[in-house]
Amino acid sequence: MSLFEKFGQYQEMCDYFEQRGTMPFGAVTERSLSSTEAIVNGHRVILAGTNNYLGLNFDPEAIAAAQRAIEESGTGTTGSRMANGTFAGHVLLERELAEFFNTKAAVLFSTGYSATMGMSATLAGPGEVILLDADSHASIYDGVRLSGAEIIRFRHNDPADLEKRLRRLGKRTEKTLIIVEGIYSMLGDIAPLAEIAAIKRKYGACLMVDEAHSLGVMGDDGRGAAAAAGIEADTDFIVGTFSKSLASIGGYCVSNHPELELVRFAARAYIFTASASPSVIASTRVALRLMQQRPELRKQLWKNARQLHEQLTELGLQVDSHVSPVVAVKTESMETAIRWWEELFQKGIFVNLVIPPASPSTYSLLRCSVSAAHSTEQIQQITDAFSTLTA
Amino acid sequence: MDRIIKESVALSADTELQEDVGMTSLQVMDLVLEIEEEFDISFPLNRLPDIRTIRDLAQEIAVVLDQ
Repeated sequence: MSLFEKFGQYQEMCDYFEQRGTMPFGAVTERSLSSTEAIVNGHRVILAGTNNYLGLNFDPEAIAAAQRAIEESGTGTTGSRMANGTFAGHVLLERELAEFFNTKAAVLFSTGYSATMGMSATLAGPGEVILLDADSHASIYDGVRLSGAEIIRFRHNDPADLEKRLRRLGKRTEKTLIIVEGIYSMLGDIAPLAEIAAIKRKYGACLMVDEAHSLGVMGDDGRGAAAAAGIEADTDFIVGTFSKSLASIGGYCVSNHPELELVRFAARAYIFTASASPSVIASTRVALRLMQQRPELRKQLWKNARQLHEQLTELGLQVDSHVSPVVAVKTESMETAIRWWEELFQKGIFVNLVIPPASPSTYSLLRCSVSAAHSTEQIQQITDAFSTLTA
Repeated sequence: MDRIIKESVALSADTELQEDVGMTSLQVMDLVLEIEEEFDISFPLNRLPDIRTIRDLAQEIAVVLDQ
């Protein structure tokens, strides 16, 4: 009995939503109609809360490559990279990623979560230090807890606070890993990477940047926030995911440190899990190429981001001042956020409801994100639905 | 504490931060950020699992200050 007591809070939440006749978490996509529309829980909706930044999930070339891979290599690898799960496609994708990022090494992981968690857990260990941004993703928090390193949190996007903590470490900075993200997932704010890299250089620490939400979104060829800030040479490790701009699933780490190759033997998240399926690798390889060949997707993404940000701001909603493909509307009250999510859904707009503790603070969020595949009219429909909400 | 916790709770050394005050783990971490500022220290997150009460927190701060 006592073993399950701690789950009572989730049962209360489920009961609460059942009484309201809705369940925002785990809504079922019954049929995908396009990159931007689907039938979800019986309603035709515009998808305004995915991470499908470039809209590549129905690209015919990527689909055909995945189909061929299934026919040629089967539905799964049935093993770890260290055992029987390294197929030619995995090696080719690693090579293509290293070429794309112009790094010496690239390592694949089976999900973005395991890439970020695994690298956070492996790079620093007992007797060493990890400095992480306070708003870091759960995968980073989970990873650093496993690392055995001393974990110190610095204020979100605050290079001065980071420097203060590095200064306190004295000579230990040489064995310190700083972890930040390019674009933060919940609010879409961008890390001040140029300042962070300058501090990293000054104190001789290592820097890892999680580009989960910035790959395909920022920088030349979509290489991410580190590229956009001109600090790739200072970034010791870049981690990221295939599940957003590349519309598949999986993760990666790239680095100019040759020791990244040795991480394969040390990262448990790499060793003790099956490798990505051949079809996933095949569609990811196509999407990685298309991302580079079609810069107009990135332009359209930012055009859509500016439109939605401008329109929601004009409505007087609580939206942060920065523009990015993630546009989050804040509400002080969780009840308001839940009611607004329900009203938006009824009006055919599917956004992400984010409530504490998943939100970065005590407020709740209606997290919208745009795709290059959204039309101007769809962005207008999203805005129109928000305009009808009442306080 | 007032900046983080809006409700009024009578505090003593044995008050539990999460159980009695109702702080979430995120709020405890934000409280630690404020304490670090006040004492000019870095307080490793590794120490948080040992902290339940205000007394625990004070003792852990004292340990960090002594180092």
